[in-house]
Amino acid sequence: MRYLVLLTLLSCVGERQKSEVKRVVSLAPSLTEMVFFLGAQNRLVGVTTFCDYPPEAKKITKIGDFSNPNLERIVALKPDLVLAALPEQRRIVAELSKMGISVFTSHPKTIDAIIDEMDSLAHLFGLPFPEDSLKKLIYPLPNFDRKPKVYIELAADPIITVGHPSYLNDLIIKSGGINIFASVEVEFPVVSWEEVVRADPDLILIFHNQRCEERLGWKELTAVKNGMVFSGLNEDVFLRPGPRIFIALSELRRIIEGCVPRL
Amino acid sequence: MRAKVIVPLLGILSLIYIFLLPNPPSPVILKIRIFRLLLAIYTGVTLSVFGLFLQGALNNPLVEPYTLGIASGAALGVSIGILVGSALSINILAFLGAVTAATLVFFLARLSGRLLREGLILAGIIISFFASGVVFLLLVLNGRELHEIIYLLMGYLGRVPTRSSYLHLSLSSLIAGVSLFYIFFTTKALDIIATGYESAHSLGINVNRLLTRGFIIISLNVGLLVTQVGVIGFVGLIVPHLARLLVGDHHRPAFYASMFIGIGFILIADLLSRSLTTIELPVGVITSIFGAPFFIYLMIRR
Repeated sequence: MRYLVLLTLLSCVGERQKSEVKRVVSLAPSLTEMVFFLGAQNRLVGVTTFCDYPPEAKKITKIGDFSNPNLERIVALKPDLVLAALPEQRRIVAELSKMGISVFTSHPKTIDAIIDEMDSLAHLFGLPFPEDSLKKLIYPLPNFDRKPKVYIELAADPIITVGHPSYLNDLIIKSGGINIFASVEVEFPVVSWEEVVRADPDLILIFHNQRCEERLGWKELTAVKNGMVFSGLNEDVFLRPGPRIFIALSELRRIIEGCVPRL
Repeated sequence: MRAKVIVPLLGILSLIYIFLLPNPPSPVILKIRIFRLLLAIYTGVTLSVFGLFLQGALNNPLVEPYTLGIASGAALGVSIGILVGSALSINILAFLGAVTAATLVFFLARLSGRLLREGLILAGIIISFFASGVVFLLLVLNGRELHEIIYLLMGYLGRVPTRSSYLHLSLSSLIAGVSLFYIFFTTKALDIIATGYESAHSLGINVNRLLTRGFIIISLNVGLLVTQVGVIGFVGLIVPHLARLLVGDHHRPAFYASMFIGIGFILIADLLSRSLTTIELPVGVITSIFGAPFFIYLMIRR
């Protein structure tokens, strides 16, 4: 609940607070997926051009893309709740709040936080939420004697990886591995190739389509020697902090289970 | 005498760069770090010497490949090249971008009627901002990460080295070597230009030809440089001034001094850029923080 910033209207419209939200605009694919997951898709009146899952989301009115949601189009849809992602959409959140429109902001830093956010949304929609069964997908955590060192590369030039505050760091932990950049207190830090080589990961996940084989020191990496480099994973599943993170979780667990015997 | 001090100092600095900071390397890391050292040396030398040449040939203490917009023009070429694809086209487009920027800057400066003074800087800033803006727009429209754009426009020595980047660096160092040779032989002419264009003309120096050749050479080299490290500002401004402070106004000793100080300056800037925070900052962040106050100092002193 602590991630919920519900900016309420003044007392004169306090009555409306009690009723459920009816017209929702989502400004992020992960949030659109959450609404569909909760079964509240018929209340979605606007989404972004990036919202392509599930396929029905493509049919909903577009309000711009994730980086440039169009304020006028959002307001024109007369939403009683707008769902936005932080930190990217800080600006538009401020604009909307100034206009007195309720905003729900999402910025999960763990998988449990993703569940909490969906729980909060379910409350706002007045819908039931299967919190316990989702928690069961996470716990108990896999426990290996030696945890594989995992490296996630989001971009190649410069190299961007995931640090401690990112939900992807938590995804690695909950899959039984350790993030080689877990000590960095930046969500998506730029790091040097040298630091990656020094950390010598056991498992590498690549989320871009640039070639890596030519890099100096690539062939010497443990992960490369053991064939533990994965580059064809579904980006949307891993990189959207929404309900499909549980697919990512089970996929990464399977990969890590395959990695552990080689350590 | 001074060389006896500078050269060992640079040696020590290079050893610190390779072996000590941020931490001692393994053999594989050594390979990566040596590449970064060579890239830094190439960057420091070319930017500093071209800065010296431009300041001398234009008789203007505020010019360098960055303030003249040449580097940003090259970056625009690079970003078009990134979208087009092949490595060769990136280099060619970077060169074309640099040449176009240089030409436009001169054209604009001439329009303003103050060709060799603030007009040049003003034009350089205009072109620089324009080119950077177009770089942003082009890359964002094509779905590129903001990080990529910032590290291109702020300069970064830590791009992942591959086998082809060694080839790239060797070839561009070769071209830079030949170009430095040319600039070395212009140093006498630069000394004469320092006494005024009138006297240079009367002594038979073809200033226009010198400038044209110099600009083509610098555009070519800055194009190759920006393709590898992005736009690094103020190195070409600060270093020649420090060099002249150290060895006097004659261009030949200043040429040597610029080379050495350029190496030292960029190595220190890069060490700072990678050790100040937990993430790798673009090296241009550091050079700009040093460069801007220095630029102001030069402006006030005149």
